Amino acid sequence: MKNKNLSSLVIIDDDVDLLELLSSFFRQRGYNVSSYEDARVALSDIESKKVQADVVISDLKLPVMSGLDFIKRIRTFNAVLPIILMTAEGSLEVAVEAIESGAYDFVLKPLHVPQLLISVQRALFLNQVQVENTNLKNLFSEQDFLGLKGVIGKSPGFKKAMELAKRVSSSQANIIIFGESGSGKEVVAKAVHELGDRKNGPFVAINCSAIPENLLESELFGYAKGAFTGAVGSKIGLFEEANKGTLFLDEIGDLALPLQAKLLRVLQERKIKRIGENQTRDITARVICATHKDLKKEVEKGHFREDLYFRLNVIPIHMPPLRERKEDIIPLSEYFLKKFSLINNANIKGFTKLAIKRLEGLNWKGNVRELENAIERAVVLSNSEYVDVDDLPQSDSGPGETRVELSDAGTPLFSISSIMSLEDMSKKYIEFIFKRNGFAKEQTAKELGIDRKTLYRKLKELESTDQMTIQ
Amino acid sequence: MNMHIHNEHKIKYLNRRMSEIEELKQCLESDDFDVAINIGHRLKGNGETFGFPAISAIGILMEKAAHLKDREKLRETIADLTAHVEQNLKSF
Repeated sequence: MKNKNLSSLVIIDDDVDLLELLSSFFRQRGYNVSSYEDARVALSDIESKKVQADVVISDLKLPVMSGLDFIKRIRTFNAVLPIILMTAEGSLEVAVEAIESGAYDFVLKPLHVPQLLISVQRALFLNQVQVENTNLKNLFSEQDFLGLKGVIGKSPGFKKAMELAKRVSSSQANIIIFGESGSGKEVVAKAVHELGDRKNGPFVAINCSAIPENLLESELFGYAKGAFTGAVGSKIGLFEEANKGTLFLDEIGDLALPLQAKLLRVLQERKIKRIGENQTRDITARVICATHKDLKKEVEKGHFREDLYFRLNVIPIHMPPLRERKEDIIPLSEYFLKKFSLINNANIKGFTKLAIKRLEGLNWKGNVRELENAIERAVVLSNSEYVDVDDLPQSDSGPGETRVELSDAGTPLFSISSIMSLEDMSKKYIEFIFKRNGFAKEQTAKELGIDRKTLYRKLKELESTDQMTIQ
Repeated sequence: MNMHIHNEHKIKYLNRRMSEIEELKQCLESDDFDVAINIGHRLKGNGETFGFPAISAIGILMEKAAHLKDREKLRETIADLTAHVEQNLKSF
């Protein structure tokens, strides 16, 4: 069940009339209110967590402990709790002192209560953001591998890849990362960056398959003003942007051959020329490449330059697919569960035993990315405190495969690995309905919503292409 | 526009002022101005919130008179407060 807690207010004022009025006002609006006449008691209860406080409203002028002293004491153990001060002293100096002491807001008496309500709502929003931010920071700092935050895995395959990444991080050798889509190639590249001497420099990533060839060239190398139509100013490329850092070229196997030649030259000479410029510029970025393709085969097919392959393939790192490192599925799932529970403000505590069995049993053809998406979906859709088997994917759906289910029993009519034409699809559909109706033409025509003549014509077409035999 | 205050809150507020008035009168006899400063300060802060802006105004004058230890002025503000509270209580 999603945890939709009521917000908790602590109100401190030695004016009993106002204390009662404000308590009544906020309770009527669904707030949990704890009221105090003495700030010391409130402080003690907040510190010992006897009361929950999302926002504090306190009078400034209080006997024994003033509102300002209260703030100073609170800040010794809670740096973020929003405190709204109320005062009948309307001087600017008092307001400045209150804010400098750590008050979130400052409201004047006589109180305009709706204005105070707005201030409370804004303070609550701030508190929520701060709490979420802290929780996310804690989440990322909890998970550690080689001192890297958010890098999760304990399988031998994962450890091998990451330890190799660590070993080569301080070298200058070219690195290429092999792995299926979604397996975490960019995580390895970032690990090389973070563990090496370039960690204080930028990490710039680009997916070579996502950008058209002509645009990719200008993205990588930059251009001079007037280099082509629309180049109204000069632009630095990613090689320069990643200066003293790392440039990660993902899906290098999809790079067009002309650009492969240019990349090879850059890697050999460590110099670039912006498009439309004669001046050469030194580059200091370390280039890390990655691909899901078998580059050796691509070389054999003539799709990838052999010289570039050898230039890149100095230190290959293989990130195994998730199905080959099953030990990582649960730690990753728990990490994503925490992450998405925080993001969606959902109070989900874990997985049921059956859900864990399902998670471990699936093949995760889309790898960590598919797992992450599945957990996000489960967190959003789950109605209980534990993600159950029904919240998870029922079976593996291979990437690139489309299953079209048309029968009542849910049996697939056909599976296609590529999109078929509308005409073929139409023929297949007619054939399917015709067979399902026991070759009864009238019933088939009715179900298809066409007249009998049209059906005869369509069936003849099917016969003529030998796609089926009409009984 | 401020919030609507229910009559029961207003009556409770005015009755509390009646008992404060007794306290103020005793303080005036014993020259205990600190109590008058605190009460005046509170009235300044809460009168208008409960729908009685005149009580906030009296509170300002009371706090000032008490600070100055001005017995006559303080007596006047107590009398004004008494009249105002009694008049409002009658209206409910």
